[in-house]
Amino acid sequence: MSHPVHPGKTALVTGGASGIGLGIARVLLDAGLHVIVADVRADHLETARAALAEAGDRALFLSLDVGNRDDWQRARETVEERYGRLHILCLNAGVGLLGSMIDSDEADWMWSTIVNLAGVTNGVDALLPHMLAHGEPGHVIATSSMGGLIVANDGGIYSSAKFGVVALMEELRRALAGTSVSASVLCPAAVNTNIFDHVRMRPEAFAAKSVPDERMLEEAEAFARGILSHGRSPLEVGEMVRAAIAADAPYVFTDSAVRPTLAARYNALLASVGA
Amino acid sequence: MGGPLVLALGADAPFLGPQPDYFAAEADAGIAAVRAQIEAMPVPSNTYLLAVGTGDPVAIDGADWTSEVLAPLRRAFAFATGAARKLRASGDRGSIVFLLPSSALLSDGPPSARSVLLRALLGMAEALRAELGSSPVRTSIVFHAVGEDPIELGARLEHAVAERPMYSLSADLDGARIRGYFAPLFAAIDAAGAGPPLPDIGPMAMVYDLDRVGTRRS
Ligand SMILES: NC(=O)c1ccc[n+]([C@@H]2O[C@H](COP(=O)([O-])OP(=O)(O)OC[C@H]3O[C@@H](n4cnc5c(N)ncnc54)[C@H](O)[C@@H]3O)[C@@H](O)[C@H]2O)c1
Repeated sequence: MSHPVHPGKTALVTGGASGIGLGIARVLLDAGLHVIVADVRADHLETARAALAEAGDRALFLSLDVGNRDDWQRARETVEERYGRLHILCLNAGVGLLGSMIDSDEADWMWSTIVNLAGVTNGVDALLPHMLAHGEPGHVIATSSMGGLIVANDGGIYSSAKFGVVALMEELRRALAGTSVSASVLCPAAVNTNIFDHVRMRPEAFAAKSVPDERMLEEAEAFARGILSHGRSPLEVGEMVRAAIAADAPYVFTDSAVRPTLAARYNALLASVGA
Repeated sequence: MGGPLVLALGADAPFLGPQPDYFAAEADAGIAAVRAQIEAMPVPSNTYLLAVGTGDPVAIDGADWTSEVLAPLRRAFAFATGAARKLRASGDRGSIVFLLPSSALLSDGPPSARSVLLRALLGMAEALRAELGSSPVRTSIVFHAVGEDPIELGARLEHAVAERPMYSLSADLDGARIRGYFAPLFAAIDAAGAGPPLPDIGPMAMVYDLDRVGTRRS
């Protein structure tokens, strides 16, 4: 199957106005594609518009909440009216809500699961039939996380959704075998993005029960930002995604240093065989 | 001591005999309501069990994600965290067992939306075990195979409740299949190359340490 990373083809990237999504958008624009940069945050869309100005009208900026199915219908209409065909769908938007799963409430669970998991299934529902129908090579890639393959003790709701995203992309890849479209999953480790400020962008519909303590929040953000500032650049990750789509690779990781953590889970499973 | 309190998800959830109490709540009950209901129910065995069926394969195109995945996932989350809160508050030794089809770990039947629910439940179970860490409460994952002898499954369940290992694998989950699933993951990780070194953030993935997973070999 030939791949869709060619000048003149069209891609849509959710969460495309910041971090990894912006890195993917920039790399695909550099490769000559048209890119729809879709994001829920107006401030991020404005920053992205400025950052990608040199792409001219090959970049389109779209307000889209991945949890909202009506927004997805509008996105499909935009694709069909403006470009006719979509070739690459990057389901990347996500929220990094960490903390105790046991102490979390309905709003925590709903926000994380609607964005991180339903945000991906909604995108598949809205655009995969279109991508299959036009018959040209296409690719769907979703951003999960290393947390979609291994767990930590403070990320249960996030990991549950991201485990689901890995399974969805694995199943989709098998289901699409022999068609014009393929699927992959991206499992980033530490990438230097704005993921540290997600607690601040909680929508009203999923408002936290109590307002988080500002000083604790600032400390947590500074800690996360400090770690992530050493991480991969989003542009490098965008390049990895481009290469993976071109090679039709099933999995994309961003850092081999996480191998021992995955190996720990693998060894735990193997040690349990016949136990 | 009595039996476990059981949440059955799916019409084909393994039947556990007449002894257990089956948990029932309104289909659309919120997380807080389910937790409150669990809080009020005496469970002298301190054992809570989510019994999940294999389900029918549901094609990914056209799946109703709300009923296939989101609603049962939310229900399981409310039940498991409700049990964890109650056990944590009591300070007693307790068990939360996720009885999952083996396809939650390795799916090679017809591609199905059901796998998304099952894998998300697996992530939830592992993360709950990690969060409960060194508390007296443990989460175990008991995988069941299609057509598994109910007596054998019952014995593995009993062992899981008594010994509280992280995993109890059904016979279809053998080393070759596990290696087969992980091989492309390791190949892709190796292909990524090492990123810039990160500051030390302490031990990672401790829940998988062999001396904590509780296999007979560890
Ligand atoms: N940065 C990392 O180290 C890392 C590690 C593992 C996984 N990830 C995953 O990478 C993806 C991208 O995150 P990032 O690190 O680039 O963070 P980021 O904050 O820089 O970018 C995420 C973007 O997603 C957007 N977004 C959030 N909710 C949305 C919604 N409902 N609809 C549309 N857009 C929405 C945000 O506005 C933001 O612009 C996420 O899925 C995240 O879980 C990141």
